[in-house]
Amino acid sequence: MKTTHLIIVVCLVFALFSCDSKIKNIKQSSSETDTKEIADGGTLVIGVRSEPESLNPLTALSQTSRNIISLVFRRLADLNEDLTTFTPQLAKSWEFSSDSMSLLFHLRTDVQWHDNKPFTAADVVYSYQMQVNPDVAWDGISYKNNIASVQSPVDSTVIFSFHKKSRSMLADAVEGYIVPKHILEHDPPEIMHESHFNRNPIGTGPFRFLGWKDQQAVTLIKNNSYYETGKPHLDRIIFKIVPDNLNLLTQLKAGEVDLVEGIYPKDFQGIIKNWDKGKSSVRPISYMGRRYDFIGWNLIDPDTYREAIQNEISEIKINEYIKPNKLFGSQKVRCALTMAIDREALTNAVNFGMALPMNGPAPLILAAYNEDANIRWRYDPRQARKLLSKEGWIDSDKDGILDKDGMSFEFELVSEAGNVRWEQVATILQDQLGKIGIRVTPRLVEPALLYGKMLPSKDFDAVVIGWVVGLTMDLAPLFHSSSFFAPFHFTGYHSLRYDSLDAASKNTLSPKAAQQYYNDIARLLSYDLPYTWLYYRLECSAIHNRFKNVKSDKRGLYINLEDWWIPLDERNRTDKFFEG
Amino acid sequence: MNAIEQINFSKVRVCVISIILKRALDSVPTIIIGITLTFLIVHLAPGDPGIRFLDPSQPTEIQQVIQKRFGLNEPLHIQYWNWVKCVLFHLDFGNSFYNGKPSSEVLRSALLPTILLAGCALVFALITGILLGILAATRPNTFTDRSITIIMMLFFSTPAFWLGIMFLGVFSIQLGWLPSSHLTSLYHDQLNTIARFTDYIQHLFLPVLTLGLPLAATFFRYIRSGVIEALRSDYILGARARGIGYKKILFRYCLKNSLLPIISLLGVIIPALLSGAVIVEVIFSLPGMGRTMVTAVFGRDYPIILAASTLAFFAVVAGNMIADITYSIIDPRIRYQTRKNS
Amino acid sequence: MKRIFDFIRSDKSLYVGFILIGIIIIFSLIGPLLSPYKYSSQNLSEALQSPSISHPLGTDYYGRDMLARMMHGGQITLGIALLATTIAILIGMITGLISAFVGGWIDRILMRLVDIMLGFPRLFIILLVIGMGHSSIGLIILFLAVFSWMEIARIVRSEVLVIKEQLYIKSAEAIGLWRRRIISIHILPNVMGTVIVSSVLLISTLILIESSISFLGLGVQPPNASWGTILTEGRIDPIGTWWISVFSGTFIIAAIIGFNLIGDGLRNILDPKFTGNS
Repeated sequence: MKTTHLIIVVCLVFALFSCDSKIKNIKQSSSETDTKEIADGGTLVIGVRSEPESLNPLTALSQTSRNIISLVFRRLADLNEDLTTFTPQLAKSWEFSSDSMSLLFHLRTDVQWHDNKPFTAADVVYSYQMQVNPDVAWDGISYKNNIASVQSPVDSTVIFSFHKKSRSMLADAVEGYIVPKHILEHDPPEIMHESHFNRNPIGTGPFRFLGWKDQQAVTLIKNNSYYETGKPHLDRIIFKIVPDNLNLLTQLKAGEVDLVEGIYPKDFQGIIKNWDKGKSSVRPISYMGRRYDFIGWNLIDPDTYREAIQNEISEIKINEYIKPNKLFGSQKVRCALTMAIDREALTNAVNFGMALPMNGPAPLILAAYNEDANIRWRYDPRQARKLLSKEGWIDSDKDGILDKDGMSFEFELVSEAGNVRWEQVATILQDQLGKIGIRVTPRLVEPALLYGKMLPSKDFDAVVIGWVVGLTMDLAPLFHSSSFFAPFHFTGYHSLRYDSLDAASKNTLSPKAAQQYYNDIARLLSYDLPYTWLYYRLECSAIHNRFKNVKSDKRGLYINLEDWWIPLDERNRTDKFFEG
Repeated sequence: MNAIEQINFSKVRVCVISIILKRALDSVPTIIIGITLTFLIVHLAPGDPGIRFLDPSQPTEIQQVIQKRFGLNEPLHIQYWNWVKCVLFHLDFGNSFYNGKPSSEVLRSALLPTILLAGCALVFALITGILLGILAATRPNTFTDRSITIIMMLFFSTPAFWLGIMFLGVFSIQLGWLPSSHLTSLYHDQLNTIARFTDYIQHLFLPVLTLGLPLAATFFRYIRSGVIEALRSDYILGARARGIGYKKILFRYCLKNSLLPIISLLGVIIPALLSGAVIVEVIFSLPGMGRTMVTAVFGRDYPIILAASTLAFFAVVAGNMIADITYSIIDPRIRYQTRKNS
Repeated sequence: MKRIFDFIRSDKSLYVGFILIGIIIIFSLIGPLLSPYKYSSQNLSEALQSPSISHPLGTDYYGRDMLARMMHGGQITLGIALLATTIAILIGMITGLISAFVGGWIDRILMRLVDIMLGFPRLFIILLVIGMGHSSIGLIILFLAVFSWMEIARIVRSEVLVIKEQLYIKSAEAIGLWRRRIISIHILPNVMGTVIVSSVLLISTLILIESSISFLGLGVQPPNASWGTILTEGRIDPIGTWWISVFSGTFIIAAIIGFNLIGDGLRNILDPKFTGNS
């Protein structure tokens, strides 16, 4: 009995391991693709860390959802790399009226929805109506604030009318994907977020939605009637959901997954090394991304803020009622703290070289960025200590911690639990600030608590956090007085000069004047330091090198998926599997 | 059975049924209180389900719309009452805040993979534990026995997730022998039936091992000590004297006795297995309750949390009830007690 | 003293277990006094070094010496497990005693309470702990204790029930001895055996649970570290930074084995029926 049992086990084990579970493709191809003829077919497997929540452009919020949507849907026009001009998509062309208060779009007439119904101007009008509908609560609704109406008096044309002239009229009009009226109009807007459409999208993009296996994968296939003939080339795109980072990278290296974004810098170094040695077929891609990390100081006293909320004080009377923070209320203190932090060492330790220094509020990716306008504080702990002692912070009781008027300089540095990078930053800051006599206690808080309660009610001392920036320069939600009580303005920064500069930058019609104002804003904020900006992250992604024609720039990696293709002699097992 | 035994047996049966009914009735207030407490804790926990994705340009009016949509701006007892009404009368646990799907659907699709994993692990643990336990018990204190016992002790003491991480690291990452995530390959649907079966086995191999080995070690200890003791008992000696075959004795008599404590443990083991599956699911990126619960908790997805908690309460209470009942049937001491009391 | 020694030597499991745990405790308590590094001193330029002469167990992401962190981690992990177990035993014993002794519907209510506590989604409660209060070690200990006393209560209750039926208790009651005397003189000594075995096993279980909680990122906060948090740090790259997960995992396993051995040994002595040893 025992021996037979053993034999069975051995056979099973042998059977398991002999099955080819590895999809390997170590064949390196030559990098030049122009000489090869473009062939159709092939499968792209994109590894993502979280499941999309909705594939409806009106209700989707997560990055994964947006990526998928960008392949299934189209807009009227698409932003170019310079972030100011546009390329036609669903609209063939456009022109401003003579008084520049309205914009006329000529729409393509050869576009079909994925269910083969024709795309018409009615879809554009309907999309706008849904985008501004408060029950739908589209998160890009503020883009449409300046639009007075959207109408289609003539077939295949749409007219956008504006309230006032601004530099962003075209951008405002084309923001947002076009959704099919004939499908969505059957349900009332209030239940849009539960609609069947969210899990079965129909769009006009190069790829059609095929299926969604819960917690496992979302599959798109080629749209054979895409309006740009000859595209796309790939047959199939599978978004494979692998929440665990280690798993994801393993599959990337093994060839089970072709494309991964947001790779941790340390892993990315490994990928670069292997690629340079010629040992692997995974090509690293990095480009300036859209994220930066910083320390947000609470400039105000949380208790008086709470009272102000309860008594419903308006923004005008902020200074009367709300007291500055006992620790961070003074600009000199914030300056000293900034100088006490060795940002370069911190950036390298956390990012392994995949980040750029950031000294001011303008995201490096935007044209508005001007490093000369930033005031740079150098790393100088001794100077920092001097500044602090001038402000009255000295170690009078010799306990190693600075104090003033009986209060020790100690505070809690919160950050989001589960975010490895921010945790590391907080830990390093604790050590660095400890060296000049400041006691920092890192506290990791789960996201719902951090974003849902602590930051909106300004109930914190300091936070390590990061933003994802949009493609426009708008810092008002963060620093403007009008958003003082809004959740994202958690520093409590309040400056009349900032307010006037911000308004001026938005109202002027001359880009050059706007840039001047942006420079002034940068100078002001990098001096006042409501944030201590730490670094600007480079996006680290990797793709299997059998994909040709892959382009990436500031706008991301999904800008031209309809042009990607795989040479016939480099198709791998997955490609071949789905061809049959 | 003679007449007296028959009468006594039916008395026992009635007693057992009355025990079951009594426990069932007792469980109802338990479940109600437990779920109400969970509801309170869930809603009173600081943090807002509305603000999930950080976007500075999102206006505050949107937050309020979200609040209204989820019914979060009503007083707590009204929310509670609405929820209870939906659950009791329509068996509707509401829709997930995250993606709008009905909670029952979310749970159903998440429960299946978890049950698959836990079930396979249980079967694996039983087979391994029983076989190895008998092997060791029939050769007490030999090298075989000692080495197996030590190995089992190691598995018993290893945190499941360390085991999982090591397995993943060695077999998936370094050696590349087995896939590192998911229950199936991407092209699973394209495969024929046999290939699909193998596909499942390949993907489940390491997770089942991770979850099942510590459990197998527990079973092993019980079986081993039970069989050793049974082998020494007079009853068995008498059977051997009567000439009944060794193997028959082993499996029909010794094994049955040693299985009894395990069966009564099952009521407790099954909920523990399911919660152990959470960790294994996270490590191996498997679909299932683990990932669902963690995401729901971090995102304050109230309907999912409440639905899953209700399920958990039912499972635990039912498991305990089964455990207590089987144990009272099995253990003569308590059975006599009950007979006296009823 | 000699009697204690003999007692420990009497059972092999007990002996080995005690030695193992003894080594670990000495390592955790005395070690930090001997080490040139502090568990929290960062040195970014020395980050992520594999084991070497100056750093026998390597360094972590911040250049902290792993050996020092293991020693400190031992204090934290063992401290949490021991304290939580103590509290759990207290609660469990009191509940079990009351339930068994008083009986009636207090018994039913208490057992229902056990059911409710067992059914609670543990994950969610600890999220609450982290979110509402400040995640301190004290709160973690409390949380672990509050969710562990149930088993002890049940065991105590069933033991006491069995003992209660025994004749000599009945006769003591008949004589009219005070309940409290009955409990302390007759019942407690008999129950203590099982309780001690269960508590030792509970320690090893709590070490396991604490590591699992830290694995989800909800446990001990930096710069404090338990072995569980160190293990989680190693998880980011288990092969590349193998020394972080391997060593912390080994310590956890060793501690769990040690306590299991002690528990088994004690059980062997107290309840010979359970052994497999001839």
